[in-house]
Amino acid sequence: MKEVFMDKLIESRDTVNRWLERFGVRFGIYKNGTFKEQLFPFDSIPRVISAADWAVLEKGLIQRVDALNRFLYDVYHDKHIIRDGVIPAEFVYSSKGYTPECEGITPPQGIYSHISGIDLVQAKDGGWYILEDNLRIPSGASYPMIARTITRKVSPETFQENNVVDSRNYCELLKAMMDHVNVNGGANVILTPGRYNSAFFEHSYLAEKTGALLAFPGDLVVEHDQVVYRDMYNERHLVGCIYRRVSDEYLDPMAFEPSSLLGVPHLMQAYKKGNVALVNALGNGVADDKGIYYFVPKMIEYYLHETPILHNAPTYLPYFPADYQYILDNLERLVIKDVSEAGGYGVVFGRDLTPEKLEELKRLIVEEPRRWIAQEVIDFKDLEILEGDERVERKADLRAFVISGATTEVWRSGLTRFSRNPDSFVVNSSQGGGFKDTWVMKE
Amino acid sequence: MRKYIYNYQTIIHFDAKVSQQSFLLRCMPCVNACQGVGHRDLFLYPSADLVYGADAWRNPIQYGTIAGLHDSFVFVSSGEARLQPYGMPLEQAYYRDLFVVESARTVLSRPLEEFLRQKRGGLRGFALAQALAAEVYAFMSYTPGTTTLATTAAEAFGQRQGVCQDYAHILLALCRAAGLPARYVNGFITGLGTTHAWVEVLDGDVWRGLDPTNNVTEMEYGYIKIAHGRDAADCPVNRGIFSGNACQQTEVRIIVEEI
Amino acid sequence: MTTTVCNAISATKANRLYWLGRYAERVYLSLHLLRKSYDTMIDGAGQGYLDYYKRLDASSVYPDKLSFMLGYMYDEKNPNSLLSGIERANDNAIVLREEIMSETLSYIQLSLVRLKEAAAAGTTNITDLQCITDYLLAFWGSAEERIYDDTIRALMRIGRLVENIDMHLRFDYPFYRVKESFESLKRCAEDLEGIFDTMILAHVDELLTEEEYCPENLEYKFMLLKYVNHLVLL
Repeated sequence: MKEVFMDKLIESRDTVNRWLERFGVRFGIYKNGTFKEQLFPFDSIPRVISAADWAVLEKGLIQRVDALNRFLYDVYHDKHIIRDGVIPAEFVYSSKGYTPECEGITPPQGIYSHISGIDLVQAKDGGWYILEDNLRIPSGASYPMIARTITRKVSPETFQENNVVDSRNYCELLKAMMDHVNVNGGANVILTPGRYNSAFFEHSYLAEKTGALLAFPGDLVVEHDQVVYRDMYNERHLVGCIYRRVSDEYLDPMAFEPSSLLGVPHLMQAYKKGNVALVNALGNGVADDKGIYYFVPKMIEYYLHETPILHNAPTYLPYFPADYQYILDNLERLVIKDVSEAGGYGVVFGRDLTPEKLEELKRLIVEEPRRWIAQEVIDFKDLEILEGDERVERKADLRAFVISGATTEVWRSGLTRFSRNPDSFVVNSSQGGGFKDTWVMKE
Repeated sequence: MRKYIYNYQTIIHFDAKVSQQSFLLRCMPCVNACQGVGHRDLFLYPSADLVYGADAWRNPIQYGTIAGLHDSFVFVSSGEARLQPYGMPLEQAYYRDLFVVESARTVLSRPLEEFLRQKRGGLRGFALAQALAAEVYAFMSYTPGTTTLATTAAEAFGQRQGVCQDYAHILLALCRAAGLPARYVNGFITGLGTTHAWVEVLDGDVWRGLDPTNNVTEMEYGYIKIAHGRDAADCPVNRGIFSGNACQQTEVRIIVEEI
Repeated sequence: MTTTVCNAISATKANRLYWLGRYAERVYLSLHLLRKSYDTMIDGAGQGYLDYYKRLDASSVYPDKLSFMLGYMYDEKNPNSLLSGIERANDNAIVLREEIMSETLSYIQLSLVRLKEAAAAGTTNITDLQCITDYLLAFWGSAEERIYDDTIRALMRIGRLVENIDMHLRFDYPFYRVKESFESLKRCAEDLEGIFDTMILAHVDELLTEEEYCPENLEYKFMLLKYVNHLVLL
């Protein structure tokens, strides 16, 4: 690393943040019932991943996402993995994400998870562990993407002197993928729930940069099982691919949550007939369930006959008798997650609990073993951030983005989030914290 | 074989004009091993392009969108159903695993669990389901107006009151807790009234009917099925959404008669 | 699959483009008019601002000159304040990013950020808000430079010109100033079929002649304002 030039970049933190503000790079949060837009603070010390490390990560991520896509196809078709006893049926059918409406439907090009956000952490020993898979609507790629565009302008010398892979191609990957799955040559559309969604900046920015139409609820209608976009003259424009940022349960009030005003009535029927591609496909929640996570390494062995390259954090399921006893005996040093919660909620560290609370948690586990998973606490490798002008170490994770279109590709960057609070292990942006650029080195 | 004519009508009045009304109906009889149809008609007002399809459980659905302004919505489903003694083979092997999992409205509660433990005796399989149907009938009192479409099995059981939907949910919760695959059925029964709900329980490789509301544990004739699913949420007769600020008033009439 | 590039604009977006144009223009002209009003107040008895209220159909909620100045610059509860105007412009712009491009949007964002900073600092000297005027001009320049879709540009411009006519009428500008905006508005709409209510357009044409023009006549003025505000069908 050419340190002199690094310093130049690092000193530019406030300038970069001003640029981000200028472009309206924000995320929304609800606090006490009111919507607020906040800046997502950028930290100028990048996370640097060596070419050698990246090679392993890339291979492992492609392997994982390929297996997950195979699993999704299998679950909604022949169910070999259940019939062969690799995953208990109960785990699949009682998963909140299992969607019977998807049975027998093959999505365009057979792809379920087009955009996968895989969350990883690096341990002190340098090894990478998968924290969770996000196969529904993973968000966050736009932040490091726009940050890179800005840092290259603000500190060109740094990039001239360091061999960083150019990561500004995310939207090209996205567009090529959408074109690949587009069923009829109609428009590519990004469907947003609206301005008051936490990731609205991203929806609009990705629409701008991929040339897709940004559609709001009500702009799309289904006629004769085809999806059309209605323009101001009430003329219809055929839609061939929808990158939807509306979650499954709100996507079609005729098939799912009946009160939803965010969806497109009868979209399910158009999708079922193969008349539109949905990015990501419906029903993916069955594969990124915190309970199913445990089985992903087994999926890799089962479908690909390969040894998993990337490891899960050591995980225990109270459902299995051996794990059950282990969890109850070691609760005070494990991290317990409620499988039905997301976004950093429902995560409890045993060591933070009072004896009474520990007993209470034990009781909950005994009552509903299927609801919980337990993991060993990984000794995170902390990353340096700037607190004022001082360098301090904080917990951080990495969300890698894997795009599955004609091929499966890993975007050569990612969203590195860190926690502001020195005691916090939770790096989710909905609970404070900021982000860093992720540098993948050329050699 | 026995023949029945049926006529099901729903009239919805809106107190202000609405438009862009999308609807999805489950109001026409299924065709399966014990149920055929002579003919089936669907009348719709205002008229709209109607698409016939199937839902996740292969139930027949009829859907479309009425774009223009209107202040009433009417659909009439009529025809002739031909019934064999109730029962149909298991359609998909995985249903055995799927219909044993509790669904949102059939979550087991402590009192339900206790009830099952007490009533279980030494019974197993379909005989246990039959006994449970009779027990639910004896335990509950049929009281319209005490529950809503969203009431869960545990809630209805707790108050010992409800209607056919609640009876069915309670029996489903009990059967599933006992490891018996069971599903919710919506349909028409002979006589005048509204739609009726009952339960199908897997007996070996055959789905058999149980009607806990009427203490029917040997279902044979008189039940015309329009939909099945995990619970009532999978089988609504009419789902709709429209633009406009209107309150709606719904009238339903059904006539089913053996001919 | 080769996909068609689709430039369709939904009715909602068309509406937002129009209002983005209106609010951006409202803030731009308000800055100009406030500067003039403050200038008038130097020589007047200090009550000159009452005239400003009247023209905007507002009641006098501010007791003195200072609170008037701060109120018309930064009071979020005052729909005619600069800050309210830029907030509304931003509400529309933020959902039009892919139509107007991030760079064009950025000038609205910058205006908003700077105005909020000025509000927090309690800046009363309006020359310190020159940057907002500059940003708004850059906003229109960016739209001209970067947006190639004629419909998008036309819709924003229509909004700008309607607001321009509205404000000029309210502040009794001479006939030719209003007339030239109106003629420009009509030219903008040439390729947008059905954008105007034809009946209302005919009324405006009748009223907006050199002989008829008389903004001092309040009945005339309010009738014309009403027509202008109902002219565009979006």
